[in-house]
Amino acid sequence: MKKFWKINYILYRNAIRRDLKISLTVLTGSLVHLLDGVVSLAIVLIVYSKTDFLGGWNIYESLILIAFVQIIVTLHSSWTKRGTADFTEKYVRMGDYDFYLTKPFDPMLSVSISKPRVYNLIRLPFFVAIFAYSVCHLEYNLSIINWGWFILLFVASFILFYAIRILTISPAFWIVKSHSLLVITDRMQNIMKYPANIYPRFFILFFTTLLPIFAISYLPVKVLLFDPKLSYIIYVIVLTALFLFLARILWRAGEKRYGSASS
Amino acid sequence: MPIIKAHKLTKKFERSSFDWKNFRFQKTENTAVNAIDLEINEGEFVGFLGPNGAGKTTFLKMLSGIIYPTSGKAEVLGYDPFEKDYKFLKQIGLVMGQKNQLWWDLSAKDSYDLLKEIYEIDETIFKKDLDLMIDILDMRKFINTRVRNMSLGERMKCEIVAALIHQPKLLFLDEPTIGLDIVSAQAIRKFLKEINQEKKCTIILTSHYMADVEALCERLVIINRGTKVYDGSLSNLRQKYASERIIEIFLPTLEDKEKFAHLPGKKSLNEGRGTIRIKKNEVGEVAKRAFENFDPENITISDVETEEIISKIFTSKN
Repeated sequence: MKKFWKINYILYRNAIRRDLKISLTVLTGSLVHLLDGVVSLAIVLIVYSKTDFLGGWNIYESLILIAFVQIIVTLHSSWTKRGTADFTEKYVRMGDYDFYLTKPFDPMLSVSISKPRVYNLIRLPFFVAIFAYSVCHLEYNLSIINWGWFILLFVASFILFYAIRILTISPAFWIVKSHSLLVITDRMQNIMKYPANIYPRFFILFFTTLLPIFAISYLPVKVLLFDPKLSYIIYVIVLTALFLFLARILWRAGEKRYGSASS
Repeated sequence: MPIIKAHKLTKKFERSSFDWKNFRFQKTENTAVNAIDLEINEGEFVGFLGPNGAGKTTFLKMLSGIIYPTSGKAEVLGYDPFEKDYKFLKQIGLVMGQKNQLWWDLSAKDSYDLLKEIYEIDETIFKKDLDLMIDILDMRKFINTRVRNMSLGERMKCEIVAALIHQPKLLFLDEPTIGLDIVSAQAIRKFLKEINQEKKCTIILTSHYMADVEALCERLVIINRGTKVYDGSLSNLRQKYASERIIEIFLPTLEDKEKFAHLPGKKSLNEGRGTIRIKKNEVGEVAKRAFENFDPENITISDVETEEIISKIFTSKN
């Protein structure tokens, strides 16, 4: 674990050094990320200007949900998004994955964290502030138990999001030009940011089981704001373990199939 | 004692495509490596030669655990390379002439810092070894330059250091001198020879350049169409496959050219230089006549170039 964090430290340090040399790219990238977050928030505010409740959730509850989703998405976008995207677009196609396979560090993790983008974190303080503001504004009596379970589910959600991402990039081992699958995780946040009960029953079933994005967003926030049902908590944790296991199995199977593009 | 054992190592690449004419899936199979047996001892410097698509890189990738074999077994440094044991991975290094593992937008030094953490190298040892390699390869002036701004030769030096930073026992080199100028290629060859001799690092090299193999490898493995066609020393290769020698005579006058025409053997004349290709057992006789008829300073006797011998092997096996 110590090695993992040390490697991350070096990768982020190197990313900052690189970004300092390409300041214009960083500036445009930062603006785009910030704007994307603001637009996503604006849409929710427009919806709430026409109604007081959405699926039974008031505006502050929804803001907590949207901020929570954005925090998870932003952390991933800074930490694992570029590396996993490069895996489908470059590493497998060009054979650069060879180097990851010959290093004494888990290649799946190694690929995922290989290209951190520090500037993607620009919208993190913005959404943390919205989260904090909305929690304060609600004036709910949130107990330590609520917060404890919520933090646990935050970690689980983060891992579950990552596992889904790995499941969408692993087909690259079989189908070289499969990067269009990345759209799945890129677009997930559009569904995750609204309370689950606004969707039809079939959608809810699909997005809590086969593509369990409601377990990433809706359930953790529900556990924080309302009654922390043990069934929800167990469900999210079991689902996270299961998806991570599946991701691992698929990746290992893919590695056996990996043909390594010739030099 | 062998540190690499390959037994009937085979790799077949399968490709599926849809045949729209007959409306069915089609599978095509290409055997890249076909049942190769090989043993390599500790400290050896082995060259793999073969034409494009011969299977030499695929074989090297199987030994380093990058790709799984279709059948057969391999044991490298006492490990099954396909299990990717970290203890095994810490003992191998890999350089690929046409791929790079260094961060493009950063200096090589920044990439080495990352490798230090990946291989869990002690800070003092890391600094000492890196300094040493930087001095030997004369990298001091570009070690802090961004990799993207380096010349190909500089970049390759940095790549080699990246592969050796953890002091591996076994180094895989896939065409490390490709595209390099003579000076850079020579510097890299010299460094690799030193590593092999002083650190007893076993090196497996694939290359298209005969100069690499001649300068570095005591042992040569020739692969063609996935099959091993020769395994032995360069001198044995010459003895076994070079049935001819070449006598070259400088012919400054017309009289010399006339005398040259009377010599036996396969002759050719090009810009005042006559060349005779003669069977090894007839060299003595022809050389004697040449020395009788021409100024000895104008005569050279040489072996057929190794490249030509190898090319002959490829053609004959085809």
